[in-house]
Amino acid sequence: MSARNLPLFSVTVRDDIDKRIAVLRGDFDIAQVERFERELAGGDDCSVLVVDLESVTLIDSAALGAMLRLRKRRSEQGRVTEFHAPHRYQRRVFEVTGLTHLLSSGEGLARGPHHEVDE
Amino acid sequence: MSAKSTDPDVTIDLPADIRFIPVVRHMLRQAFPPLGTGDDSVYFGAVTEILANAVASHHDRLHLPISIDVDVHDDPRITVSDQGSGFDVERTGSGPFDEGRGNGLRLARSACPNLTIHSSSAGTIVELPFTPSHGS
Repeated sequence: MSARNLPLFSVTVRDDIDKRIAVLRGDFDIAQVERFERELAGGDDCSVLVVDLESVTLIDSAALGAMLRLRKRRSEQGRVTEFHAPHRYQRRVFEVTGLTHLLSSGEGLARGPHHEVDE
Repeated sequence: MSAKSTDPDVTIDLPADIRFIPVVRHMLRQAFPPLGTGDDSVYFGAVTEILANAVASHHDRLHLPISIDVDVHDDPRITVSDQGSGFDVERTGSGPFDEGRGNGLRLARSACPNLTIHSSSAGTIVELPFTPSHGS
């Protein structure tokens, strides 16, 4: 995926054997926070939710805040939230803000066809 | 308000509304040489943080635009000028992530170490030099 084409943000939720996976794509910034929260409002009642950021091309502090609020809300209900960010530039946002402990390895994320994120 | 002595290659007026940030970012990406996704994410992530801060600073003056100067030839850079009430440029989150407490500026400075900020009660000017490698 090239970020020079308008990287439209999308959220796709699917159920796996023992978890729910929210696949995010495109630029995740302040303008997309409301959409992110709306898309996950009704479907995050699973015990384990994985937020897959592999195809996200940009993450800003507002997006990070939204993900943290989601995690906190779910944690208060005894539910687990994981964040999968395999690319260095994605992990950077978590590193700078001291949140790398929230990242998962992404093991067990079954993948269908997807665009390679060009580094 | 600009401290520059030469006119930018292009100036974009951003309405004080976050919904326009993605579109403006897309336009800015087209103005510069293409970067790999990593470097693109880092640099334009910093730009996004600054634009979001500028929009937030206009909360009580929504009718005033935020000015974005774009220089693509000599000394390429993006300069964001707002007409907010200014802030303490030294106030950058340094501890754990704390919503609404300088996290955006912290990320922007990390991504673009040479960015400069001039802020006063008349507004804020942030210059983000564009360099091909931003340490993805």
